[in-house]
Amino acid sequence: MKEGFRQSMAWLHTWSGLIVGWLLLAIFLTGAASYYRSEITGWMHPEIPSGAPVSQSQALKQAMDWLHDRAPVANSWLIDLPTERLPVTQVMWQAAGERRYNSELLNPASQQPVAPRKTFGGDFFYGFHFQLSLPPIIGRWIVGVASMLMFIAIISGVITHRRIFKDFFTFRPGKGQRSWLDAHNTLSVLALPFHVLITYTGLVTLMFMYVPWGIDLVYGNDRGAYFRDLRDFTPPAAPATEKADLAPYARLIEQARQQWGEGHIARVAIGSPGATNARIELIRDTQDQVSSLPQRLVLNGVSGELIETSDATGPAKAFYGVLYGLHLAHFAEPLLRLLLFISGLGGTIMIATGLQLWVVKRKGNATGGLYRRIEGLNVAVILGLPLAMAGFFWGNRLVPGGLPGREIVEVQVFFAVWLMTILHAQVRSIRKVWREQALLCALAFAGVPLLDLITGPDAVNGLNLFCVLFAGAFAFVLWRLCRSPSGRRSTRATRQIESRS
Amino acid sequence: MIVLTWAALLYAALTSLCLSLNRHHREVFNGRITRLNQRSLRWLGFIGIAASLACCLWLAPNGRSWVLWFCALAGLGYGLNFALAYVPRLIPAAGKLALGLALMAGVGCFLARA
Repeated sequence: MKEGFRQSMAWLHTWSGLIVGWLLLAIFLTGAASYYRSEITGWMHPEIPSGAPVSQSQALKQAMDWLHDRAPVANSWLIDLPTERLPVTQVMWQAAGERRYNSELLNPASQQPVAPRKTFGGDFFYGFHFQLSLPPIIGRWIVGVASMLMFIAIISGVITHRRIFKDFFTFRPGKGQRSWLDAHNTLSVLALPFHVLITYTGLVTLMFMYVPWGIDLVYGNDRGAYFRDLRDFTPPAAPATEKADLAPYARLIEQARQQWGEGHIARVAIGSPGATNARIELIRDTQDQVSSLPQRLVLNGVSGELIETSDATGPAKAFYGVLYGLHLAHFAEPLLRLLLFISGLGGTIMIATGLQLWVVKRKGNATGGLYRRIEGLNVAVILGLPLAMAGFFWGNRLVPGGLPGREIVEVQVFFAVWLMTILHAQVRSIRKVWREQALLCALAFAGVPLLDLITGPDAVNGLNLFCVLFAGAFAFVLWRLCRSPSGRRSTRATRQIESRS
Repeated sequence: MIVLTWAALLYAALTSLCLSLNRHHREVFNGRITRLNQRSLRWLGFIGIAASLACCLWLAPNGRSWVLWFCALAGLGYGLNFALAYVPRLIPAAGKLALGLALMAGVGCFLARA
């Protein structure tokens, strides 16, 4: 009975993993990249000056002055203050009678718009991570189903894995199937808490979509009321007709300093600026708390008096805030961010080794057909996706700045490269596909810092360093592929199979 | 400095745990492990891991420390596995070095706080 149970779990693990494995790999890799979303955005906007950090009060003053000149009559202004990770002020304003927000990046030192090239930056990977560049509802459902299957694969994988402790440190390279299994096991088990946490909290981030019945029971059809309660959001009132000067910036800074200490404002939201019923919300950063729900101060927009302070209260809200916060990891300082990124990459390689195991196990029995398609798809996600990501960075530097819709062109470059790797992996012999795509990955990542050096003002940055490391890693993979004896053996076997068929 | 105390201890503990396993002991020392050694290395490993977690939480008692510790466990574990596969002879020296670092950083932290 026990054996039977374990075997059925092994079956479940294999198939739940294979069906969504390619998708999960893409979700994991873009998710890992999203830990550096701000840094990627910064890199893709080389116009943003990387000068000395500017004080929050100076940045706020300049942003409010700029908005006062540019959009004196507006429903609301939003000001995202510069951070160490992204040293630029983002101002957004919603003109009276409009629904959409206009946005501009300001150089916090000079008060001038940065006039950056149009690009989605790190937001592209972030968006892809949970909606796959599809229409939001469809994309999120697909990601939700994939995450649920990932969760099933994790649990069934733990049950299947007989010698969890003994194999904790076991990795024997160069031994074909054995090595793939070792790598898969060790990557899974060592970071098991991370995998469980990230999959579970990932499902929690979109739980309103996946399990809406509890909310429907309490709130009925008014889903908006639920979100307003969850995020303490009050919709802005229509601006009053009488005019009044907005509270001075120094008053806002002082209120925030009294409540939170120096330099903790992340965003300032001003409703009905310039009217007598103006209302100012100060939203605190979440760097020093696990929860993603920020503390907020609501001020009278004219007098600057404190109206209310709000905090994540109530167990359900706090629980949700902590789980969401654990997934987003805004609290991570550079070391923890790096470790989370490494764990994310570990998860990506775990999925890649799992997919490869399926192929390697069936080598020799299967010929052509579906097996060959799966083999090709594996390479196209394991090496093709990183290549497409490098292509996205290349696109950012090579697509002309003035081209209309250039941000879309960058995304098209990403998908075009990926599509080509998928086709390439289906038509070339598999041994060549591995080598050629590994070579291309190494070259593409090595090229990113060079391209930045030629086109950008400052090539010394973290993203370029990571690209060099990735180039080295792909070069190592290429070297192993070229000298691996098992690779040569399997090639001979493949050739025999090919000649027979 | 603060991170080094528990992170180095964690690495040393993982090394000890790893060397208490027959297969890895053989890879590193070319000989079978005695029962006594196996027991003591295993206990040292588990105690070291627990002490490292306790130390991490004691130095910064918040939710972030849990995440940091588990991520460090994965990261250091990956490093140890990689070293075990490609440079097994360096494992004992690296483990001792980590233990030495942990002790030195621990003393440094203690003196700085006192």
